[in-house]
Amino acid sequence: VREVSTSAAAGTEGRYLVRRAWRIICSIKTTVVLLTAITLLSLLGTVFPQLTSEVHADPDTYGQWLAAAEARYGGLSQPLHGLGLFNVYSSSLFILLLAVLFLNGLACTANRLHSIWRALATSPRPVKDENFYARATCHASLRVSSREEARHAMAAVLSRHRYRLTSEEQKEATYVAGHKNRFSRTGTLITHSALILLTLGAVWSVRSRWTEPAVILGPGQVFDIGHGHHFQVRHDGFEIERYEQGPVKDYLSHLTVLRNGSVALAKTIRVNDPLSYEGVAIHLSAAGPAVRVLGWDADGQLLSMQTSGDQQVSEGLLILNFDPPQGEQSMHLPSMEVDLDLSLIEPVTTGSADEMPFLALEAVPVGQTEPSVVTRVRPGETLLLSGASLQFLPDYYTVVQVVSDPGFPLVILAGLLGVAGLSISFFFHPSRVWLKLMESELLVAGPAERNKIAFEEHFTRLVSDLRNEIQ
Amino acid sequence: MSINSSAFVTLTWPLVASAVLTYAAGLTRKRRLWDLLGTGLAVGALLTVTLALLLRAFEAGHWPLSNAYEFSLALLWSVLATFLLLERMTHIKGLGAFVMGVALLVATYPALLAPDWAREARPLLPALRTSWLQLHVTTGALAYGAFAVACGASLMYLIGGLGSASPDSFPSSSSIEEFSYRALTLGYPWMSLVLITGAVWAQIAWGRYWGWDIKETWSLVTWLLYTLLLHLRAVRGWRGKPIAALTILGFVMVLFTFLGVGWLAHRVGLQSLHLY
Repeated sequence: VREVSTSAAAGTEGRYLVRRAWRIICSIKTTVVLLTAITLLSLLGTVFPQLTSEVHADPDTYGQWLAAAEARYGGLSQPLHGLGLFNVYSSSLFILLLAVLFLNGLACTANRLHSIWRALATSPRPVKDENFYARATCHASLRVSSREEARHAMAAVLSRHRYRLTSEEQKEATYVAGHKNRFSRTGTLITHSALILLTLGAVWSVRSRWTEPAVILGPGQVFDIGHGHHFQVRHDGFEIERYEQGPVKDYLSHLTVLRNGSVALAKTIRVNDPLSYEGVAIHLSAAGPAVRVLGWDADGQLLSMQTSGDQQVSEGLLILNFDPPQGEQSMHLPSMEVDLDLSLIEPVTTGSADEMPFLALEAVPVGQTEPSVVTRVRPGETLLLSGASLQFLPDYYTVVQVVSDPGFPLVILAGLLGVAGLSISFFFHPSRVWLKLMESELLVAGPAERNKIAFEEHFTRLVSDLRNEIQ
Repeated sequence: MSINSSAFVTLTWPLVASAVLTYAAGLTRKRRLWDLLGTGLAVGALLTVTLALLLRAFEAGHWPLSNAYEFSLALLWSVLATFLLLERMTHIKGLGAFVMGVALLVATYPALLAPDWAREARPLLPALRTSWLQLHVTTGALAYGAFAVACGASLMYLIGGLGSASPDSFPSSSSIEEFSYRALTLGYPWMSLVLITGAVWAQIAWGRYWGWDIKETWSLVTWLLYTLLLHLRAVRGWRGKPIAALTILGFVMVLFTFLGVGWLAHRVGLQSLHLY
């Protein structure tokens, strides 16, 4: 007997704990605490610089970032870092709060389902109790000359006010119950469901989003998208569009999608108009000066050229992207055993060919330190070097961001669904009225439920319309 | 003689100021008459701002939503329109002195404080050449305008609740509360749309819909504060002073998101894609 009672007690205690946990997770107090904590933590993240995932991913950049933080905060830098204040939005605490808020939303939604369903499924029934009509928050009494005529007038007015009616005919009176905008009770449910969907979309984004943040493409250069996609993107040119007065109107980058060597899609992308193909979006991020080098040897054959650090040899054409524009570029001419160091005197700013900068050029024979030739070349000019000719043509490289984020449509859809839910809640007020029509009197009653003043105003209008119609 | 938008912008300030004084006079006596006059002045101010915005759009060659000066004009339009709309919808009168006081605060920047370079109509930057600018900024102006109205009503609620200082001609506290709540329920869906349209635009322009950028975060925090307020009101039954205080705090956050975030980012050394 003792064993049985012990196990029954344990079961009761278990059920009690589960019920208590459920009550806590469903509680609006929990929601308030979570929203407050998330708000405060979010604010904290705006008063300390935050480490981004890109900075985290690169040890050099990470080191520089920490050095900058140390320079700014001195001895406090380490404790602040230790407290996670440079990492608020990806900290365990912040993610935990978001997760609990998600569960809270889920539980609240589940908890309300039954009562919302009941409210939707059951219509109010006519009330016969005389006291009900006297005690309701809003009530009115109208004189009636003919019950029959008043019945028609009442039906017409209530229908004009979009009430759905249930009536009961008795000898002494006609009892009517009316309701409208009952569906607005689903507003909160829709909004909460939308927030749950939004969270799921955001989690989907975090888990499946990938990006190539800065792909530099010189003129004619091709980038293999990768990440399981079998297509490439070629950069076919960059333009700067200007207003008549001179300021930049737009930046345009001409891109071509290649699949199995054939053109699958061509599009000019702008700052606010990316290229989308197979769920991958290519965004224009930046642009800068590039130089196309055309080379021929003394016999007029295409000259072999390669950029420093690149094993691949190009025949007759080499693209040099000056990123950053103030930086230097080096190229190597294997057949001539010469290295060329090039720098732009000024970066490209206007896009007009005659405003392209000079190229400062030094030719250094391999194995030597002193240059054999030091010169400046105008864009478009040809340089003769030991019988070979090199032509330098000004152009632009473009920097694109390649992104795939399958969670994004769900997030936006959920957001719009949430706004729809809010609009239903805020702009469609459910209201109920009860009427008792006797031979010489009509009693009208209605409880002001959620929006007292709005309902009172509506009730006054309804009674006034009833009075006018009956008279 | 050519008419430009600045003339109408300058004219707005005395109109709004007169409306404030007129509505304030209605709080002491003959409220009906003064309120009628105040509403007339508010309608006049709304028409003037509408003309200013239309002329500005014509001068700039784009929707006037591209800098703080233009946004403050749109915000002023929104405050006036929301106030007049709610006054008509709710039939609650007598809040004009306070709500138009907030409108006067908004009107002060474009009419009196904006530097000449801000008033100069310029062509759109490449980053702003998209329909999302109109959607995002218009929803922002509508949301902030409604919150400004709620803030004005809440200020009146708190001042009216100070006790014996409250004149008899003040509207009832329940009417003020209702007016403020109606303004909040107008502003909150718009604010939600601000976040959504901003997210879509960020995805299109920068390839990510959310990046914890300081401006984004402050917008979210403002939205969270109003979410908290509406939950406390609807589910916990909060009414009166705490809700009024939260409504005012919400609008302070709105103003900070609009005006203070740039300063904070500069002070703390944060990067932001929204500051250029």
